Amino acid sequence: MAKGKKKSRLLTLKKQIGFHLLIWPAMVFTFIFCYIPMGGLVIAFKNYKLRAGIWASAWNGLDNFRNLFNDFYMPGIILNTVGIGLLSILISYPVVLGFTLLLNEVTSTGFKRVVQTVSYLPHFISWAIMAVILTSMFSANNGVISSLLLRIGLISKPLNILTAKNAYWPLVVFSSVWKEMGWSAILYLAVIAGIDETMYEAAKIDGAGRFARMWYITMPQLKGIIAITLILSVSNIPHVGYEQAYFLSNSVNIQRANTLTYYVYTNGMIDARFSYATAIGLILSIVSATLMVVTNATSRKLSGKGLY
Amino acid sequence: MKRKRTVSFGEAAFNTINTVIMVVIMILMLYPFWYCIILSFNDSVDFLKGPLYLWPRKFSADNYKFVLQSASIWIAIRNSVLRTVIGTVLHCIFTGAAAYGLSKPDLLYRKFYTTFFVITMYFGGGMIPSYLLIRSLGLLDNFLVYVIPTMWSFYNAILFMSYYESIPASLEESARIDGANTVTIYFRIIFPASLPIFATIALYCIVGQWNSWFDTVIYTKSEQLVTLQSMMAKILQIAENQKKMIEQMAKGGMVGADVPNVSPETVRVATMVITTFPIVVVYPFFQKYFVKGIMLGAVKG
Repeated sequence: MAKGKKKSRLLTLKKQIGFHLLIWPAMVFTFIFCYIPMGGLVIAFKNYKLRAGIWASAWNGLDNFRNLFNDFYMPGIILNTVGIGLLSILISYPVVLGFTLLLNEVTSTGFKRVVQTVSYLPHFISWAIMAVILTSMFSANNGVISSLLLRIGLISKPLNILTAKNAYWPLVVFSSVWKEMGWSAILYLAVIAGIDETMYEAAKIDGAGRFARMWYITMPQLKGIIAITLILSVSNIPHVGYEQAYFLSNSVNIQRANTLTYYVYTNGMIDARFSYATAIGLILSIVSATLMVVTNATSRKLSGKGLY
Repeated sequence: MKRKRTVSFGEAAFNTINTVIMVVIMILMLYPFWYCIILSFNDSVDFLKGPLYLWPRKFSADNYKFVLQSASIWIAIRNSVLRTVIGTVLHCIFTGAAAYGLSKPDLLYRKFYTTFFVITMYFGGGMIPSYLLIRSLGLLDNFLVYVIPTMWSFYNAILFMSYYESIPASLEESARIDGANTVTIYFRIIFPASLPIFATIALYCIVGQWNSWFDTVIYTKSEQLVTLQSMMAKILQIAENQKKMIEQMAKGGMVGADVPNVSPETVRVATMVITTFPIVVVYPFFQKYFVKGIMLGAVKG
């Protein structure tokens, strides 16, 4: 019997061999580019020397992780990461949802399309481009923001937002919201478009006003998709801020700009402290995966919707 | 039956206010780009005299002349175009084909394959181990580093798979009866029937490749591998680089009295406008494909 089963298995395999041949290159690719680097994480437990290579470098147990706890900069960096991450979520969700709901109320479809197309223009530019825009606009030397504020008398001397320590968080949070607002709205708008029109009609007959309809019909329908995007945003918090720090940080604002992923970059790629940087990276990945599990469970409990 | 449309005062007021809000949002989205454009077309000496708001004060194309006559920008344009074209084609062929293999519901070991891929969505080696891998593969300072590591994405494979599922099975059954093998079927039947999803994924790739800068910064040193984005990144990172960059650009271009009046600020903005232009011009025409991709992702997610 078992033999027969094995034989039929071989037969199916033979019949399906073409499909397996299509999959295997991707398997090999994934092994090389994803699994080998996972194996490379062992250098977090070693004192890695570029010249010696991964295997010949000496083990040092948990020393790299111990150093992490004694790192003078670590508390500030964690604060920046969590601060920028949470602020981004707190500000972007209300802004995006507000924009979505208002855009959805636009009566002319042509105008709606134009607004939508324009709104996701900034999504298509990189942070390198973003940085040029921001440094040009916020520059103290004839930058448009500073000049405008001077003109209307809100400030008395040119304002250099780019080198103001306390301006860094708002600068990156609001510019990120500006960049991604329209793009994030696409998903919500698509869900809204799928809501049964008769629910709105019924509510209208019952005397529900425009805002009541938004709140009692549209919002509950969006709960699931909001839960999903929120799970992804929360689990991404450990990874926020490195592109922004790469372009917009300077000796003045680095105290507020340095985030965990940027610290991994500067330690590993600039100071060549490979093992230490990998140890931080490993913890980041673990925290991120844990956050995903926890937020998913929480969201399941609260709204019945989760990622899996 | 024609319904009488009566618009109450409250309704009309809401619509007006809402339209105003939308117009303000559009201005907020567009003005920063407009500001960069007027800055790039303004004389750089004149700019020092005072701020610009809506229009160039002293029109000049010198910034563009300067940028476009430097040798390094053409190397950057060449590399950006090459990585975008080659990277996109490779990604679509490779990921699209593997996704076709995975899309068979009764495939043997399908569970094993998907688990193998799904794990990589949750966990990875991170920046340093990846760098060491690229280094030992000999991809440092190699053009291939732009187009090889980007060949596969399981997330995009999921999008492909969900599209393939909508293709009627009878289409490939008949080809199979005619004796065609899986690879032939993929190229002759599946690919032509899936053009919308290929367009969607290709557009994601194009934007991703065009905007990519971090790989250039960490994996390459050679001047020959500079891309438009990495050029921007370099100009931005250190103020000193800006002067150096201008000197370097001047070397490849005009000399002596021919060098136009430029400043780091205006040259930077002109380079940025050149870099952004292709994407901004292209995306409105393809937005339906982008939206389609997002929808597929949401359904699967």
